[in-house]
Amino acid sequence: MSASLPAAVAAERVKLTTLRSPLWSVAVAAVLSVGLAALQPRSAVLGVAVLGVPVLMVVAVLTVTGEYRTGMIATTFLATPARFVVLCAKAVVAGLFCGLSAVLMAVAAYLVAREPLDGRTVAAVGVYGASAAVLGVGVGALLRHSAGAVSVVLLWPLLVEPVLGNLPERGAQIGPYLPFANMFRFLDVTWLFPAYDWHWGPVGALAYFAVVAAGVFGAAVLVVARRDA
Amino acid sequence: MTLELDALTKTFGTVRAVDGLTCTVESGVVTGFLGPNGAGKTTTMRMILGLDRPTSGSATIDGRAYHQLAHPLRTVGSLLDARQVHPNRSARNHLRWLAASNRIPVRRVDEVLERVGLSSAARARAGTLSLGMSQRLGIAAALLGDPPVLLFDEPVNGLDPEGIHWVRSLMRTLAGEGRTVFVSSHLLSEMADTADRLVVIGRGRLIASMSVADFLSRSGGGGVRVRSPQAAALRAALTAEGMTVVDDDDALLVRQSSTEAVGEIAARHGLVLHELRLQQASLEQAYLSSTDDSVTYRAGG
Repeated sequence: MSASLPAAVAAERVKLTTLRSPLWSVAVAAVLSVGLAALQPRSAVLGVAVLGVPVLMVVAVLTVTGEYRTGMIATTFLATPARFVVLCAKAVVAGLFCGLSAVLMAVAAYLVAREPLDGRTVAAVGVYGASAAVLGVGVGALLRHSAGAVSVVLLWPLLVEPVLGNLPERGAQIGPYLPFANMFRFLDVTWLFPAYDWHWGPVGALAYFAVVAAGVFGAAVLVVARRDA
Repeated sequence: MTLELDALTKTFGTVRAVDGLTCTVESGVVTGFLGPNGAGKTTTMRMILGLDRPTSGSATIDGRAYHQLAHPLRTVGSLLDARQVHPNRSARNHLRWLAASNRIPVRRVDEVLERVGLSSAARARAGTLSLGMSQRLGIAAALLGDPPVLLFDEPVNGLDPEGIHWVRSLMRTLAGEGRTVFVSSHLLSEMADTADRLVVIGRGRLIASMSVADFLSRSGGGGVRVRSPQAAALRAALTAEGMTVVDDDDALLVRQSSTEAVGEIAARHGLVLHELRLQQASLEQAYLSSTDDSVTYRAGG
């Protein structure tokens, strides 16, 4: 078994840094995040959480679906036949890239908002960026098509969860089990969700989101290993 | 290193794309992999490379499956579809990530770019390369790990005559260095001057696995063509010597014989000859007769 993760990570790093689109996407995410911080200085990282990280998830999705679109995924599997190693390498690189970008955006947001920098929140945003990227890689590998996978990672946090979490009759019951609602609880960012009767604390909320991301990623590993490339 | 296919089979739904394919591809020679379009050549190559999962059977490189190779690009180089690159990444950066994935020194990137004649286009985005240049980039990627085994799927597609000549001599050079070179094509003429051995398939089944010369003689069509105004007497004389004689338009075709033998028999019997020459079976003819009943897609009419 050629489980050479460090080499696969090195390859994915070269891939990510030799295209312009990821850098442009981060620039867009940063402008949106910091712009919102200027409008909402009391809630400095709101923009990073609701606009910045979803755009970073799109970057993570495209590291997979971009290869399916061009057929390059076959070349990737020729270079690294162990497909779970390929997906792990993509998750590591996208996770570090998105986590680090989210941290930088959060710091910039505090500076623009002229609010005292809250280290715990900045770190939490970094964890959010990294785990959301792993989720994005998983969604991309499961769906393979850019349009579908991008729709999922944008509509899920920005539309589907706020709708479900605000249903007049069932919203209060469903809300505590929504992954992104849990993540916003961990971040301590007020978003479109009402106050729920939580079943676990903020760390539990982070763990819940991480389990969902790991579950989607694990499903992707199983599916990709089975199908013809 | 030899490449072994053992009862390799791939079923898509009810279609048997590859059906019990067994053969050995030796090192040091160019082996042509021939078959009509849709015969299962690409599926076979994708199974060798671990991209498609065989329904049954196996493909091994020196006894090991592709996915068991520690750094596969250093053992097997392959060109499947030259367009399988990201269009916005430069040719050089495409090779850089491939090198990183198999711990191949970066200097190899510039060496293979030089070898395929792409040094000047190294920084051009892959999507802007012509089909011929994409093909060269794909060949550069195959050569990157200096592998002892090379697989090329239709490598001359889209190349101009100069490019075709270059690919042919590259194949010969690679085989001359002792490597195993397995090249697919649906055009026999491409293989005629290049390959030493042939693996011929039709509808996923093996039709022949032998040297080019054996394939020619087995498929018939060759012999000594002789034309005489006294054809009946000549036929009788040749048949009396135990030769197999068939009609070939207005002449006779003598199987498994030589111009010397036929000429001497004619002289002994005082027969006039208007034509006497050795007729090689054309590789095209042999190929068509062997794959005739195994063409999957044929135009109606």
